[in-house]
Amino acid sequence: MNSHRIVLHFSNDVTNQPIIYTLCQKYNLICSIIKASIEPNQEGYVALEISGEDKNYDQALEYLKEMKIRVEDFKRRIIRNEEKCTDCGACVGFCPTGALAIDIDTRKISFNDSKCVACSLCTRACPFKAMQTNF
Amino acid sequence: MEKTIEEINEKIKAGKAVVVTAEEIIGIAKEKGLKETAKHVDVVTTGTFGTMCSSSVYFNLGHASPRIKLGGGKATLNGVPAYCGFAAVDLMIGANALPDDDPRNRIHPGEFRYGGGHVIEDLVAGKTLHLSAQAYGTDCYPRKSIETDLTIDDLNEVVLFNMRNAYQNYNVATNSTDKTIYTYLGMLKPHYGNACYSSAGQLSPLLNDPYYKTIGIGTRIFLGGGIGYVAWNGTQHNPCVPRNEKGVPTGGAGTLAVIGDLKQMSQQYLRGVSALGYGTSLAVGIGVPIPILNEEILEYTTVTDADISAAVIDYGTNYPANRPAPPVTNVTYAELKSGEITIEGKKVKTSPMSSYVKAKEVAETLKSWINEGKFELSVPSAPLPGAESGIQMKALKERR
Repeated sequence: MNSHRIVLHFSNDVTNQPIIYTLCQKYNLICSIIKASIEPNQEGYVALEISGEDKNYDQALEYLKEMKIRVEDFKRRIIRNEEKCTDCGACVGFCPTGALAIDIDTRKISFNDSKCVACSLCTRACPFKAMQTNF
Repeated sequence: MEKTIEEINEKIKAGKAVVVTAEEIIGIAKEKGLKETAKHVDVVTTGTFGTMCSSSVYFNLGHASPRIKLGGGKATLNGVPAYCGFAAVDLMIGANALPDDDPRNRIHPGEFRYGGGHVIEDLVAGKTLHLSAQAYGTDCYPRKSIETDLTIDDLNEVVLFNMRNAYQNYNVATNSTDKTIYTYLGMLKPHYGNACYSSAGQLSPLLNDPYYKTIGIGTRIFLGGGIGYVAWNGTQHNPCVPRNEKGVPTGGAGTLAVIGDLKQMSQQYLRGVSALGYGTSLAVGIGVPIPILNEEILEYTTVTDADISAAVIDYGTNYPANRPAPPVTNVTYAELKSGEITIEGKKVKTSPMSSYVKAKEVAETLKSWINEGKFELSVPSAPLPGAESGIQMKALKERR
């Protein structure tokens, strides 16, 4: 069983469809919502962590394509600009999941995007605007 | 055994000087002992990289045809106001300057995306900036306005002048109130939700020469990736604060005013800062070489993060009120760097505002310059006011 972090972009005519329910029921996937913005009759998105069999996941992607839901890798929405980052660590004290951490020996900042929940606190804490979340 | 700076410079010229960083010296002295190490090591390089708000650049534009006198007029670079209180074409821009149309904290917390610090970074990076200026016109300087694009290469002198940098120790900030606050030391969550610190600790220049026995006016330094000099003591230089048995001040103490040619410097060590809810600033890389003239000077450079204690100050209450009050607690840099301190029995996450990685890079770069013979030490022209000076910081008296 593999886990995938993706963002589903809904057009305004599918926001009233039971998409997440279908992913769980029909494709037997475990869906955990990381972040979402869905309003009736408006464009929206849901960032999900999906776990399940590869075969089911692939079929689910086909279903999402049929429903005209654009699927994007979650990672692409969170950017750490390494040129702008000075390794100061101002972000680290705010990161609630430990995605941003200081190496205790080198004092360098590491970013583990698989732990990031796009809360965007780091984008506020960073004095150099090195962290960017596009949600 | 005493050495002189001249003798050390002879060794630098001959490629024989032994140069180590303020981090490396700790282990070397521990292994070889102070006496042996003082003989063996010639220079210890220090470094710091952090937000230094009293930074500025002054520059000479050259004269336009027809001439314009900006002294007494108004000028902006990329919309950020420059100071026009000098002669015809000498302008100065400070790191905290903001465009007139910046919303500041009208919607709190303000983002402060672009200000003087960013102008300085763009200048050093060689980017094109827009100059807009207005003057009142005189018989000899008839022009009343100018709009033009320029880069650092179009300017005559471009000088970084920072009136207070490289603080010797500094407050650790926390917040006891029930709301998040936005400070120059970062966001502070309510109920001691976090703590922020800013000194490079054991690598920091003035913590390695706590009584300013080698650093003085005229000391040649690494400044923003180029060569600069200590111009004077910095503003708010406060050498008479209490010190521990190793001479380390227990709070903010000495400061440096530094100067250097911006044209030699690099964007890598001069970076515009946007502090949420606070303003813009400039992060500056500074490194000071310490000549190991004797065992005493060496011993000061062996200071470790565990020896440096800093006061944790409540930026939600006592700091903004400027109320004399005992610190919330005192912690060492070793504790701060562990990522967690204890305040009133509560575990509190810490985060630095200055980059130790960059501070180390500064110390390493300075070390390589000296090793390559590109950088010789200077003999200070005059000492900085020391712990015996009796200096007392004055608060502003309000009279009416």
